[in-house]
Amino acid sequence: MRRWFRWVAFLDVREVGTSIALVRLLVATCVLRTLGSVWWSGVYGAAWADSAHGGWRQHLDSDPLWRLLGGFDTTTRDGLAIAAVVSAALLALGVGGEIVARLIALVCLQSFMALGDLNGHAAGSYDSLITNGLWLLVLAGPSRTLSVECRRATGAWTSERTVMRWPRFLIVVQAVVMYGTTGWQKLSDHWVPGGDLGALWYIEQQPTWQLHDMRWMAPLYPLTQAATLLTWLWEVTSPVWLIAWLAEAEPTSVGGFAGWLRRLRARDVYLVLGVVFHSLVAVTMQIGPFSWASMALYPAFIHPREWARIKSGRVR
Amino acid sequence: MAWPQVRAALITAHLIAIGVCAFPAPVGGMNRSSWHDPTVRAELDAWRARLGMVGVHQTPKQFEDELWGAMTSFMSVRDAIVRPFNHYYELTGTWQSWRMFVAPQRYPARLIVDVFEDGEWRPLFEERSDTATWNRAIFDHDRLRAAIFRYSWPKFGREWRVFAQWMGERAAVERPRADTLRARFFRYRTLSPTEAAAGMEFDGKFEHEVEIDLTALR
Repeated sequence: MRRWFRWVAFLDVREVGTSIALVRLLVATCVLRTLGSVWWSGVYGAAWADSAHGGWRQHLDSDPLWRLLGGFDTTTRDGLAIAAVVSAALLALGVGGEIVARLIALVCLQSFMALGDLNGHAAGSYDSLITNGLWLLVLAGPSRTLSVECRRATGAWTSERTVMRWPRFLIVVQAVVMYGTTGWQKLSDHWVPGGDLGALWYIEQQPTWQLHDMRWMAPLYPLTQAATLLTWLWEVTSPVWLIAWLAEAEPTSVGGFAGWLRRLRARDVYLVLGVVFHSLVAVTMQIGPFSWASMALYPAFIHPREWARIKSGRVR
Repeated sequence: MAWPQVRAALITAHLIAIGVCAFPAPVGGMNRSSWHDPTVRAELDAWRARLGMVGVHQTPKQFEDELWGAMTSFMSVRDAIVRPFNHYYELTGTWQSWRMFVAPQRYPARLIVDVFEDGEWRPLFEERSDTATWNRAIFDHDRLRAAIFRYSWPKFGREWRVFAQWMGERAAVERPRADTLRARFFRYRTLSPTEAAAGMEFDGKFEHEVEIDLTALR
């Protein structure tokens, strides 16, 4: 019972809303970027339409919203696309107070999910990552600071008004769950220690995800092997990142392993490795907005009190 | 019950929901026809060899049958645990599908599309080519890459033919002199670093060839 009450108390903490506001800005930007690329490339009419309307799928998939709306038609699809774009823009700007901001995030989530779910063959894990992020923003009510709402309510763009910390905790858990479980499933002989550690070399050779022919990397093969091992370890051990985050979130109550992680600045090490990893993926592979959607969650790893220090160049 | 307690219970339920859905599971491997793919075969052989190193010696058939049995049992338990949360995932977009790059595809397939035009086959589109670039903005988009990747697998055979038909319909309009569209995959073994450094070319074969009569579509 004592553990339960500690858990309840942990979830009852409040803090300034800077980190969650930055997640809001980045996730909403990801939605806009994703929808924009679908539109400008011409994929909109090919992937998100059935064969009677220019697409290739004879029968589109449908989520609960499509069933509620009576099934696919292009007018409804276009309406949902407009709703997704407008709500993502409003979400990025931080329009609306506690209830309206949540409703905007919910509209963005439902419309984006309905579009992405239309064609499961032309979807990626980034769709799930974005919708997970949007749902956590619905729960968070993320417009307290760095928002039009903040400007309206206080006359300034930033505010020290507090928000609940638990949405930030859930975003951190979501990122760790994603990295951890993807790592635990990398059981290929090319990934695991004891194999040839050729996974990243061979993945970079797959035409499906290449941006360019990557055979030029052959002389750098030992580096790709080291990167394979580092990536695998980083993902498999990512629950340590969560412990390190908790150690930073509540520095006065940590000791033992968590305290050791704090002294090692393990949270920051994982964070920097994540940025490096996603940046390298972004410049060598075409896997859609996955890297950006992942890094959109990263501000949640930073405590709001740290932003002022980061801004002034004092990391700790 | 006070609101903080209720909230903590709801947050706990959310964490359980995402945890059970994300837990590693062989979702993509539950189609045994996929096990004939050379990439999958190589992984199975590697793990059978590893088991042999610790004293578990099995024939390929024994190993695969036991693995299939274990996977089927695991998935039935997993499905029973996940099922109560399905509505939550569906309504809130909290599906957890993080089976990403679990194994590099050693035998990838490259989509190649040509048309028979003015008495000869002319290249139209080839994945990652800088010369055969028909509708490249669409085919190079990550969503189309994902679809094309799926269609190179045997279990998507029917959907692949539907996709080829769609390409034919576009080509019938955009290439009015073409008679036939031919779509196929070139499957090859990716080069090892040593082979790439030596300048070796890809060695592979065409498969899943589909021809679409464009004259019938006009």
